[in-house]
Amino acid sequence: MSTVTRRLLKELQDIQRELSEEIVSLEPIDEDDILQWRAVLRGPKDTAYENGLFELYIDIPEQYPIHPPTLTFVTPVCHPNVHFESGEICLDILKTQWSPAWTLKSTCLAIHVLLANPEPSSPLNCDAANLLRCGDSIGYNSLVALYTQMYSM
Amino acid sequence: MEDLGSDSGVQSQPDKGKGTADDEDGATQDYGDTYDFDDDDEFFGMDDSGFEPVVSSRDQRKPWEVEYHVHDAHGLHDKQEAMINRLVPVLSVSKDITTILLRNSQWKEESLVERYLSDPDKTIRDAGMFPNAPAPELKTGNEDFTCEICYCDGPEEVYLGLGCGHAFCTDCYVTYLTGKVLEGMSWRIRCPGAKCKALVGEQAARLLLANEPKILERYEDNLTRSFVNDLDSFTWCPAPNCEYGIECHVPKSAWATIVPTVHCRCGKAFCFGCNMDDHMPAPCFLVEKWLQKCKDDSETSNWLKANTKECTKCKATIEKNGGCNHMTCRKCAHEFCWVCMGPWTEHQQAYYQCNRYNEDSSKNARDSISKSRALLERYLHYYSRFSNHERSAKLARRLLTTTETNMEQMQRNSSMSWIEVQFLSAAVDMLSACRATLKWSYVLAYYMESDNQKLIFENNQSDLEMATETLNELVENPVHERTIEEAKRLIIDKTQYVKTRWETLLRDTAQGLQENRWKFQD
Repeated sequence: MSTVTRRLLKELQDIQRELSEEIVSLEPIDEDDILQWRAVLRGPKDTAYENGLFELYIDIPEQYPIHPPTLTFVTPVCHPNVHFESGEICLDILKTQWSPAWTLKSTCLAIHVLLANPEPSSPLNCDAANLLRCGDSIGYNSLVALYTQMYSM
Repeated sequence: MEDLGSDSGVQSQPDKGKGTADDEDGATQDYGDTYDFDDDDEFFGMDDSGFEPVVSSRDQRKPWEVEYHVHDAHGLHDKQEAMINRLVPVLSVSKDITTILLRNSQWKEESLVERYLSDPDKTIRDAGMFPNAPAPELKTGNEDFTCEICYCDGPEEVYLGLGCGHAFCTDCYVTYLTGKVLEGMSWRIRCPGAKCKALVGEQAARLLLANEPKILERYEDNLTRSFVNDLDSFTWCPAPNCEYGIECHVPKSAWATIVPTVHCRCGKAFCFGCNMDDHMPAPCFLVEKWLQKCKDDSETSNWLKANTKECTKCKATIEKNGGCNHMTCRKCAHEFCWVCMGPWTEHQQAYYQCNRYNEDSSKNARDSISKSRALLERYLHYYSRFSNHERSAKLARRLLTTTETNMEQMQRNSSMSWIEVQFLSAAVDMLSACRATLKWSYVLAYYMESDNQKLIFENNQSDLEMATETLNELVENPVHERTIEEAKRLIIDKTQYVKTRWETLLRDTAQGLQENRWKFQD
């Protein structure tokens, strides 16, 4: 068994045993291919994402966990660090700060935290970031709420 | 490659200039073993100093030459080792930790020792190491061990843990290290643990990569690379594929008055300060300014100033390319006189001839135009000479090939041996050196304020220029209406003369810069 398979099976075991409440589901899309996963995140409480469900597609490289997995939102998300059309996510641990000790679960949790804590200084969605940067949190929150209602409920 | 060091007798050999005053004595001794240019040639007795007593050549460092050393990979490695070993007893911690501390503080020993003495533990921790941590070792036989990367577990697994407590199996560690090393990293590789700041020390890395000789070699290369990059007194030779590192202790603050030209063992002559090709006699800051000026469109604006005027009403830039002085602006249809810039309505009675020429406003306009025209002309004067020598230097390279044919011909047509026709290539080498120097001397001259000192400089410059041109002509057409022997005598004489002029110019400028003899303007 290759390292990546062994590791992913172990992760799957852990996930089946216990999944935190932020994550609705996290599993391989297809039983025959352990390198492609699907995750559903719950919108963080007390944010405009609340009550939304957000689907992520996870592509795992052969060199995992030395190399990071690629996570993209399938559900359109309005967020400064998420590309609205491609679903690409800008998060340091997915790029330079990746460490092999991160798991798919901890990565999903990190993205959940990112939803509630946007980083407008490195935006992929400039419109959302600009609203935040000029301090218009009412505008930002209603925009997010609108998209959450449109796409993820 | 090595030929350059051994047979170009006419070129300056700055490497001979060892052991002169301004550098601290300790440094000079340390590099003694790595300093020799032609290690490989020693068997053949081709050492540079072979023709002269060693002492005299060493004492004769020319005023324009700086002290420097060329190191190969081994030399650089030894240099690092020496610095580390010197500090181990001072800090009295393990060599592994000392190494990381030194690298982490960019090899600034003094500030490191100061910081270390005030708080040893914190200094070590800040650098990503752990005081009193045992030397890294591969462990096995631990029931509780689970590798956080591949989740393998059990007592049969071989693993390694750093002082931070994170442990991983060797397979995962090696894969992780391999990836980082191939990315070009070395001592900055961190523990694979999430957000862990601990560094994988050199000892641990060597232990893990023991079975991966290629990766280990690359790792050591990366270490050396970072050593040269981190130290201000080291730089890589910028020539493509050249692997030599140059050490030079001329401080940055002195680059305005000293041109730190160094000659790499591969034959490349470049400036230690700005890594550009040798630009003696102009100091780095003038070179930078000049190149910026040439690149900038500031000269375009000079041209605009000299050749155009602005419409007095809408300020559009207008170049008059013919016709009478009655201008009609294309943009705003304002009519005015090109000569006095006044509205044309006032000129009703004086078509094609402005009689208001001497009024103050028009005088001022003319003054400013002629001033900027003079500036432009001045720039062009120096620039054309600069680029002329640049072109000639390129031609000189072509001359080298024809010279080689000439040399072969001479060997065939006369009784001269190979060694006896070397004077031709020596002359071409001298020409190239002079072209480079002349080229940059115009940059120096451009920024120099006019005074008597500049006159002296310009005399030197023109002497060298004239001598160079004569030599160039001789070399291009060596046997024109002469016997080979005559040509040889002439060329050798002229080369010697050019060399004297060249050295005079370099000596004079080097001393002049040191003495602040010239004032420079913008």
